[in-house]
Amino acid sequence: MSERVSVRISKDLYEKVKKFIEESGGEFKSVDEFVEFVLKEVLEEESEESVYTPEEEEEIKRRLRALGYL
Amino acid sequence: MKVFVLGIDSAEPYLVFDEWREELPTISQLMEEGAWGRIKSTVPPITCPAWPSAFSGYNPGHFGLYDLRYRKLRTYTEFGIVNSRIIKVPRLWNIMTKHNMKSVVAFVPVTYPPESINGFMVTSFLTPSVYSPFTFPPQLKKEVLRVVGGPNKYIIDVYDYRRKDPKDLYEELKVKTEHDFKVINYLVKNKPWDLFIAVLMSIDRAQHTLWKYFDKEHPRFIEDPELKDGLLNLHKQIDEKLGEVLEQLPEDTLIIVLSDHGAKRMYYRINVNELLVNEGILKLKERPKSITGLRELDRRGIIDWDRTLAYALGAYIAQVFVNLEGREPKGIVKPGEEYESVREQVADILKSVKGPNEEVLDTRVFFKEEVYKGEMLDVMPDLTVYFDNLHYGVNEAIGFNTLYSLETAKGPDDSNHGEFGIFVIKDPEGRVKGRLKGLKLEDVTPTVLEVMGIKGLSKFDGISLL
Repeated sequence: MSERVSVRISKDLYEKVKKFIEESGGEFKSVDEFVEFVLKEVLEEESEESVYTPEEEEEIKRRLRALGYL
Repeated sequence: MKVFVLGIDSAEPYLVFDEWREELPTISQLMEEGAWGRIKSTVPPITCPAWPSAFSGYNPGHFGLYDLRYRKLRTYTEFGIVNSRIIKVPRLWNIMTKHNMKSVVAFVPVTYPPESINGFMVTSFLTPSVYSPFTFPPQLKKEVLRVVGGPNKYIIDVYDYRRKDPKDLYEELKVKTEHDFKVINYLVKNKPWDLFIAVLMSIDRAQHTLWKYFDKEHPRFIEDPELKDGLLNLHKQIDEKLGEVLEQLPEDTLIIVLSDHGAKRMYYRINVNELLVNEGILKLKERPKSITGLRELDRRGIIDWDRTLAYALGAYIAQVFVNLEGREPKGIVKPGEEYESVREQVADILKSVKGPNEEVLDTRVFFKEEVYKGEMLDVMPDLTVYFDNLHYGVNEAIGFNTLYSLETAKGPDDSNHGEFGIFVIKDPEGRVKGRLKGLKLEDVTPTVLEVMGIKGLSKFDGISLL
């Protein structure tokens, strides 16, 4: 596991997450683990559009354009 | 029971079931021993959304795709190329994985980047290059490349399609089919599977260029002894190779052969945005002096979005988006009555388009809620247009100064897509026999899952055929 750092969030949110974790039956062991999971999910969703590098995307578009599809 | 599915992108029912049936002994035999019929494609009948719909069991409104590209959110003309991560509904191999059964997935469109599944995957023509990680597991790539004779022999798709001599293209497609079957045979023999799905692209690529050599009614028909049977021979090659694969499969394998859409001769392309400009629906700040793509016009700030009611995208099939307030970056059409009235107005304009010699066209316009359902309805086109029932394609560029393009900026244009594909099924238990009617692509997934004994089929948009 890589080096850990601290991030500050509001106490209210922290308490809400803690309560959520306790009630959700043990999938997450701590608020830290939950926060890390959610942030990763968000980043993964963001990266959907960047599956292809700009060069790769251009190459595929060139092929599809030649085929008459774009 | 195992299931083997061969997809032949763009195989046309009229050719396979009627014209060339006797020339295709493997498929004919499957038809005689099993069941067959034409299968309704998605709207529009394009590779993506069609294959994802077949292999998820859902209408495209559930995964939000209507073309090989997608419009990036809050933009009019910025496009991304579709990829496997965009599709949020599970596909057959995901469901199989969940039920601890193995799949082999080869060349199925919209599988790049490859997913981690219980099984083996080789991605399709949307793979960037031979250097990309195009298999799961990653080490499978080495085996696949070895099977075809090395990385410099591996053909992801046809390159430089437009500049190619049709004879060279024909030869290249034969080689591509040969290679695809080498990989298929290798995977059939060497990997464990419960479900095997492979999709071939060569017929689609051939039809856009070789159609005019066999179809005497095509307006640009060319008599050429070498190419007149080109398309037929590519079908025969697939049929023969399929026969060889089937011989190796266990007796109790259920076989499905299908296409995602058909094909038909294309007369012309309608310059649909040129039409919308002429009708005052799409506003430009100035007319381009030469043929200019929509993206380029938008980038140069030439489209007056503050006064535009609607615009169209698409190459073979027009997809119209209303400049809707709240959805589009500079939307001016209010949701509700105003939106409906703009849609009606645009639909009437498109339906009234005649051919270059005043011919009445059999044009059909679909409103989105008539053809789509699902959580991604918002991103789907407001109107989809089949000009002359798909005998006419479209151009989205502006600057042609005419409504019709014969020689187009888009390249080869012998044929457009047809709204029905082929479907042939041979069930070793004989649960389905004879001529089938009313099939749709969404039926494929529940049918395969029923064979696998997986429950919960009622959630799909299709139904099991068994």
